[in-house]
Amino acid sequence: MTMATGTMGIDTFHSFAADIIGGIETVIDGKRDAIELALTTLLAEGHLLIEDVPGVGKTMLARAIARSVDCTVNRIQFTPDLLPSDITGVSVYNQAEMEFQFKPGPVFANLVIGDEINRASPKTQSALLESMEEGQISVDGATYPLARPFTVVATQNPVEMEGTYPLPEAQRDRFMIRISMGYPDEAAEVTMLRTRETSSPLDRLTPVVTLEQLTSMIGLVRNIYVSPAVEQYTVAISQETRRDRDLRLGASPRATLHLVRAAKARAALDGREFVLPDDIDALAVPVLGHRLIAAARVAGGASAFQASSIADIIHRIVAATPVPLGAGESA
Amino acid sequence: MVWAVRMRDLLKRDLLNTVRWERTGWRTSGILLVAFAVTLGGLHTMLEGVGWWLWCMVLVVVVLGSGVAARWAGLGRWSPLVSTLALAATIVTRFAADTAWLGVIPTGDTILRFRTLLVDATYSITWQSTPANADVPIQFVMALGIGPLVLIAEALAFSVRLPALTGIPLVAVFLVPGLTPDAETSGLAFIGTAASYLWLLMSTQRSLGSYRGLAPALAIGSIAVIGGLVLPAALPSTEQGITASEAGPSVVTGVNPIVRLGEDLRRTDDRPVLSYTTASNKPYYLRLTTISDFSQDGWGPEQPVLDRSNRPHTIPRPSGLQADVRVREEVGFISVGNLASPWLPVPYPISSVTQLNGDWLWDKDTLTVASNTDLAIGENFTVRSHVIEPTPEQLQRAGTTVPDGVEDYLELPAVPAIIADTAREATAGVDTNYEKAVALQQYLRSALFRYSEQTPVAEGYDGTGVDMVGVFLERRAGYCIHFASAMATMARTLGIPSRMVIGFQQGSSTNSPGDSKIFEVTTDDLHSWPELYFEGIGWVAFEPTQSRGRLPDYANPGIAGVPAAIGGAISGNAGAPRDDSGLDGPAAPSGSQGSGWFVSGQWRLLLPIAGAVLLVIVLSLLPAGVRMLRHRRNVAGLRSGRGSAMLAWRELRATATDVGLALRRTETPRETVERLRRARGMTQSGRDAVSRIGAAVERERFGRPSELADSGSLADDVAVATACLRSGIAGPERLRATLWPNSLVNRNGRLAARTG
Repeated sequence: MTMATGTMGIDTFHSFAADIIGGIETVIDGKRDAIELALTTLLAEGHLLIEDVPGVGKTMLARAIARSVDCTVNRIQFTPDLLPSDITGVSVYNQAEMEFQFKPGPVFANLVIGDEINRASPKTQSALLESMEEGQISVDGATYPLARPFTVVATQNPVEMEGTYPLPEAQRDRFMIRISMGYPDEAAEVTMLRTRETSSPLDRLTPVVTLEQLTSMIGLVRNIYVSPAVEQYTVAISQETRRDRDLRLGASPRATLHLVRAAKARAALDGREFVLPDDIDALAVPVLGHRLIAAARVAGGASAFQASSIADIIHRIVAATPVPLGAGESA
Repeated sequence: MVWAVRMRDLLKRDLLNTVRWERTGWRTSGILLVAFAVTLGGLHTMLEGVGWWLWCMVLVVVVLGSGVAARWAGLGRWSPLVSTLALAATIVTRFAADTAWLGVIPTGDTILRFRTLLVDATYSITWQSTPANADVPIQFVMALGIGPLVLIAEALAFSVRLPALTGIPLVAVFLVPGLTPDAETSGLAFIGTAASYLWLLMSTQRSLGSYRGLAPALAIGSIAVIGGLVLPAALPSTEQGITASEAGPSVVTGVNPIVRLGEDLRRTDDRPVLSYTTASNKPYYLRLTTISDFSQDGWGPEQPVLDRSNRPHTIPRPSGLQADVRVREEVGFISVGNLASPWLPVPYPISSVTQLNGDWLWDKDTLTVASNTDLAIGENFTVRSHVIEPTPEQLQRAGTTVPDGVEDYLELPAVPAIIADTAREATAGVDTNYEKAVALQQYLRSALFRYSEQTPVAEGYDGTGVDMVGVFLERRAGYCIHFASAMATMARTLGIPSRMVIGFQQGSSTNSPGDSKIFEVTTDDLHSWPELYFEGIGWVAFEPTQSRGRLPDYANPGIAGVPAAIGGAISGNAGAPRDDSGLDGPAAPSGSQGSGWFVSGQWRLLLPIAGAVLLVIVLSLLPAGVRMLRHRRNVAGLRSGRGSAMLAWRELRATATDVGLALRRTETPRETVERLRRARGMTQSGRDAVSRIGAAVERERFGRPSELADSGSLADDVAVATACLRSGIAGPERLRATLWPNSLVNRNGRLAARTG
């Protein structure tokens, strides 16, 4: 974890971020919330799960992010016959040098786009997911570190669709944020038709920040201040998800960690040097939504379409958690 | 990322809809119901039976129930009005359904009925001893008292949203027995009241999601309760003493009425004992018993000879009354209240007493009416009597003759010389018994003597017996019992048969609505006077006590024919009567308590009301004062730069809470700012000020500790923002915000369900 801590100021950060968002917005119309969340994930060194029906721009978003940042990008199309080594890479015997040589797989990139991740077998899925968590790959007894920064943007179709292996809870937990694109509104869809008429806007997208600058931005996010009050508030929310009777599975400690890290990125994107409870509130559903499992009596499951009841529960918990404003202060 | 906030708001609204039932506050209402049930139960020391309690509970249920119903129907703002109407309808239906349209809508007749009920209730309360029978008029008064208290409690709990203050109406109910003579405050009721009140506090606080803020609520509550306990003791009344001494309801008990008489007279409160009317509208003295045996050390009432055949339906004309003496037939109706006496208060001489409930018999020697088994409390009876109106000539004619059969009334033990000496001096120069009697009376009424209820006690001669009479004639200060016994004893030394009477002077009349006057007799009218015997006429009353009672015509030297007082020992103005007894109608009683039961009764009624009002005023100004001090302290702290952004924030939130904005602890500062910016009365500068305060508090609470904001500039922002908030509310609401600042009780924000 030798990350160069950038000396970037918050203002520079803000303008870079605005440029990135502006660029992506030319590709994805009317989805600013999703774009912001995606960028948040990138800056917080998390992984993003985009869950939605086909054709709403999941892959487009992932690719737009990749294009906006001057970094290495690999795309993996997950299919049922994809093998783990297709992701991690294989050791090949080099006859000239009389030894096994490691051929890195597509996972060795700053940004890895995993399309339709739930179409691959669980075995293959977990190969990617383990690399996401550990930041390194072990093949034939040798360990190969992955690139820094490293972010996986996985897209997933709703579980009801045919030929899919839904991600198990433990795997979903490794994604920092889940977003669902949703259909564009009428105006956005009309704009989209017009812009796609001649050429793909993706082609016109040029990198806004270099890898170095991105690293500096990530460094700045790491240094965003989280007050004890906010930590307390976040933990209180997590604890409550474990106690809540409407939930079968509460937030993991990793979820708490992800929530705070994402909140730091969101604060930085907002031009602030400290995290507010509002950041936690705003990110509670995107960060926690895919990790919680409703109790049997609550309708709906983990998929984006049925997650509204989970979102309701999270909203209720957030709304009921007091915001700590300091010792002895009740107002 | 506004959508998250918006979604949360939507969700909250959703939750509100699903908890519509919760919003009715039925739980708080239920606890209030229990609290009133327990507290009203404490009135059992005043009232008999359980009917009144059930009736009061009906009222409580009506008020609280209609409030719940109104809130359920979404008419939360109107719940006080709904409750008031429901209460009024219940009262009208219960007491005057036949006078009201559809049994509910009051008419002019309803008002008249209510007035009658009020008058009846005053009588009922006045006459009854505790525990009283809660008759219909009393239930009416209870409805007028309890109903508004429940309304106030309801309004405090829901409209004003200060459930802690519901302690005030509860304490007001709890206090009633403590402020009522002879009724004791029930300790059990106190514990019950306090417990249910605490329950209410806990419950309302828990619904806010936390026990924080319980401390101020408890503080207000305990002020209310402690105030309730201290108030009765602090009131300028000796009623407390009566209650404490367990005197019971009796004014004159069978033990020794004379001892009690002094005590009763010295009591500063005068309590109604009975009332009467007469056919002629003229008042008279009412006798209880007589004392004629002067030989004992301590004089006591005669043991009446109660012949079972002496039912008082018809009583023969008194013996010795000659036909030529003018006798006026009088019919009186006497209603006895709080008088636990084995003797019936009747005039002299009676000819019949009817409509008695108890087993009463008359004594043929004294014409007193007594009972071995019953007490006079609550008797309402008609009494016919002969008012003997002898002329001075007839009395003169009696001369000095002592007829057979009354010699017993001349018996005296060895008396101190001063009695006979004084009697001789006072009657020097007159011959007949009549002249001597008037002379004795006027001697005792002269300026030589002083009326005092305290002196005999202070100087140790308060009592009866001839020795005490001797001391009285030396010291020349005392009250009726001394004057009466002195005259009776001196009369016997002069050969005039005499006896003492214990009873009531005529009392005072009230302006009753009808033609006939009602005379009210209170404990202050307890009296003693001598009766002297004249041949051919019988027993004749005199009034030797200064400034008390009323001189009969035949004993008033101001009337033609009555001998002027010429006793040698009397000087100067001695003969002048002190009472203008020639006037028709009663003289004002001498007590300092005012001239009639109504005034004194009102005073008594006013005490608890005034106390409760005082308590309410003090308690209701207290929060305003505390809030004002807190505001000043906060702003001063900010101006001096000592305070933090948090201080500004606290003040801003407190003001917002005061003006009725529901701020929750679960809100982030940013959300609060957003809501305050949208608040009524906000100007652009106000919005900017709120945002600056919010930014400062965010920086201070969540930023790096090194980046403390400068709070000095926030003082102006606070001033602007709070002014905007206050300008956003209208008159009555602003008054409430000032008088009862929610922020004191409810700094956490309040039950979200009530904000919808």
